Amino acid sequence: MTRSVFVAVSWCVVLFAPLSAGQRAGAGAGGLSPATRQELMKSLSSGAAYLRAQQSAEGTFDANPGVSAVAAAALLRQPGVPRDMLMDAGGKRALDAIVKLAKPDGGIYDKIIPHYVTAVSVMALVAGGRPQDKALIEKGRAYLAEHIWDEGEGIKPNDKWYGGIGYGGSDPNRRADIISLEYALRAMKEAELPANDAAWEKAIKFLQRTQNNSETNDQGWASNDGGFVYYPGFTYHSEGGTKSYGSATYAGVISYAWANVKKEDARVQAVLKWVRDNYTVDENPGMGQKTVYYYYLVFAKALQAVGQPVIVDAKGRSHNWREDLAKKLISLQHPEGYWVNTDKAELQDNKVLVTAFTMQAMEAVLQ
Amino acid sequence: MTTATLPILEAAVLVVVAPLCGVALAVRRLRGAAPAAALFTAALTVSALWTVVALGWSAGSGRALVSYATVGTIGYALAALGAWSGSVLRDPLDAAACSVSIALLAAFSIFAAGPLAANLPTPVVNLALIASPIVSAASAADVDLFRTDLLYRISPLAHGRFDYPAWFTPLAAYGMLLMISLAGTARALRKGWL
Repeated sequence: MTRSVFVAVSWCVVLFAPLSAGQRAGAGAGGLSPATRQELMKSLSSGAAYLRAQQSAEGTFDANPGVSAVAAAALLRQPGVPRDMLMDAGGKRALDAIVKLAKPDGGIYDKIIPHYVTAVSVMALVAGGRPQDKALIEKGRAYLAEHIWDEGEGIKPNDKWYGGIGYGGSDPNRRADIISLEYALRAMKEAELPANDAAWEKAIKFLQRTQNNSETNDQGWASNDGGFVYYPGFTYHSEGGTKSYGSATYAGVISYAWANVKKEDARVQAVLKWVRDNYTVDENPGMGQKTVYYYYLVFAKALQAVGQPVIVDAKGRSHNWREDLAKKLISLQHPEGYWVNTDKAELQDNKVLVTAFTMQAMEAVLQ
Repeated sequence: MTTATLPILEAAVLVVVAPLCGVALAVRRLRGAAPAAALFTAALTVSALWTVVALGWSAGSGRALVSYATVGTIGYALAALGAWSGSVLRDPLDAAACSVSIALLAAFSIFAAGPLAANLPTPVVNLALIASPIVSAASAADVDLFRTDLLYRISPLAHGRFDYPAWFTPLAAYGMLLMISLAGTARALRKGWL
């Protein structure tokens, strides 16, 4: 398939997506307005073109295999473009590069942060949907489930780290955190780890111990705002203490969803109260612009997963989060098609990573 | 402490001890250098063997051996740097202060730089990581030092972009320092600066 055919199809998607079947109701009902939807598709298409232009002959998008896999997943999930076309437009090469990283233990990584890289690699392979990658996906999800900390690592159920997962590798100081867990659970969910697998219940234990909800958190530090911290007893909130902050909290919301905890559950209701009290698309609450694009990603995926089209904030104002987030992301795009954060923490000065995060957030907005 | 952290701790100790040993040897016009080198090699070998026995023969123990090779090279290089200082500077205390300061700067400046380190260009950060014996030993052992709990919590660098050195880079860099320092020491001693 030629590049020009791909570009033509992409533009058709941009132009006709608002008229497509299955279109949501108007913005007032919690969906996207046709105008915003069209702008969003155009923005996505431009972001995808930017990412494709970064792809090397070997199929990678960045020297960091984790970043490369996030970009591959974002491109392979581009809404409205047939998968065959996505595969021909660099998708196959991207997946082949990921497959080369597969290890005998089931992990898919190069050297550092093996859990994280395996999680994003599994997500990319799932997005590709190639039959030949099925075995690798299953081994990858088993690798992640196996590395959820439990008695196998000598961690007892009453330990605060139980059910968590860290970056992996020869880390002499063990720790788990909510962000690593969210990635692992997302990959396990997308790779269809059975709902009755014990890893989900273990993960829920760690989630409870990371939530500021003293009703269900047995750690002494827990307060009751309902949000999440980075790991039990430690937060990256700019004010310190054990205050909940945005990206950790939405990672918590979505992790509960991945772990099959229902929306009606008291733990989810508690965190949704935090969401209502701290609703914003202008910053990562408690962290300002730091890691704000990961915040947008989990914000969109979490609210989409819990089926919450409208958020009524603490002052009683209703927010159509899809419309708010779409407009915000469109406004932040650079003319060349990429997104990048003004705060470089957590690699958010990396245009490939941030563009891929944003595209995945947009894809969640469109669902 | 795990077996993986042992070479890292040894590298940290060597940052101070190796240059001092080098200065002491230079003051004695390198008398006793051979037994000192043999003792150091024997200590490293025992430590490495203990690590291999503890880990069992695996990829992990292979990495630990590479880490010990790195620590050994760093130890000899810093001792040679101390000897060079000791052979050039008249006062042994000046020589000790000079060589230990250089070693400490190389080892810890990247940790001590705080937010400044996070704002440096990535190639500069990567060079500083190669220069640090502690990072080099950790990297050779495949320990993700900046994502250990304490450093991840307090170091801005841990949240930025950087690449750990490949195992051979510190070996080459410190090997070069060793050669230059030995040559400098030999030249200074021949000129009879002491």
